Amino acid sequence: MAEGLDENIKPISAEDDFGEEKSYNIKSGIALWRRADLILICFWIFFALGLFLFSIFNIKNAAENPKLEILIGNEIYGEYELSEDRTINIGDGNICEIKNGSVRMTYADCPDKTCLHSREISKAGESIVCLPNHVVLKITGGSDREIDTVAE
Amino acid sequence: MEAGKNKSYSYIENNGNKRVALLAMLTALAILIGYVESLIPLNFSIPGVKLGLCNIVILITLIMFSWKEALLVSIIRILVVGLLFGNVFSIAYSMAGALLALCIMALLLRIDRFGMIGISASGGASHGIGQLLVAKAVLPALPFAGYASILIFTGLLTGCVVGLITYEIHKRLLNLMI
Repeated sequence: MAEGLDENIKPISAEDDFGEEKSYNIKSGIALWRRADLILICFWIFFALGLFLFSIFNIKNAAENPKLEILIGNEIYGEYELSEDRTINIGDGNICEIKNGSVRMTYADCPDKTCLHSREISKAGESIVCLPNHVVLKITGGSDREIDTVAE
Repeated sequence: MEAGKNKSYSYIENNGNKRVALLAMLTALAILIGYVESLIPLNFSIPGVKLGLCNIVILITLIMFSWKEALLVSIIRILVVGLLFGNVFSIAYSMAGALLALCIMALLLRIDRFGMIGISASGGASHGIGQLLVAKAVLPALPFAGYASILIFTGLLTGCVVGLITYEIHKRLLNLMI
């Protein structure tokens, strides 16, 4: 029953009443795959690859003096050296920990706990985000501080 | 086939109560399918990444009716789900994602060059971008590019799956209604 239908399925044509009061003809179908899809998906993949490479570029491996910057919303909550181990309470909702030069979130009161599962960050440009609490942990290098202040 | 070309099927007659009933059913289905999705133990540890089964209903509505009805179903679904289980922010995120995805999908459908998988995958990818734009507005410190690339990749993958499911459902729906 379903097999015989494939021949009947035709792509919806542009003449079909788009935006008119009458709705689409139920009998016209849409092909599963058409050649233009390949172009479309390639476009998305290249777009995503570009963004990915851009984000990789932004992580600087050899920043001289990486610091941990904690932001709640737009405001800077505090800046901390990565060299000394410590735990920091961020408001009531989050607790993060600096250990051996890398930072991780150890407590969050939000339901999804995504930030707890994020990997540790230690390089300039990396960050951990707790979206429900609007908390961003960000490693900043000594060199891009100026850029940040200019941008703000 | 030719006879039915310009005549829409009676189920979706414009003035009919059946149309209202069908739209209400689709809306209810869209709301419910989000719950069904939460039962599937597919846990991505990245916020904003999910299967997006609701898109099946939205796509079917978009194809059977028009972008107006799809918009209606989409907005009602987000408001109901958001008011019941979420908060203002979750409504804002999903609203932005859904609206952008719907825009893109309606446009691609109208261009009439693309198949179900292409349309659905683009919907999935743009859904992630829409969400991220709101997140970026709320939280300017958010690293945009890294998240965007992840959301686009996963959106493409889940969009392909959703497109395949939608194609099969739509095929059977056609059979049922002819």
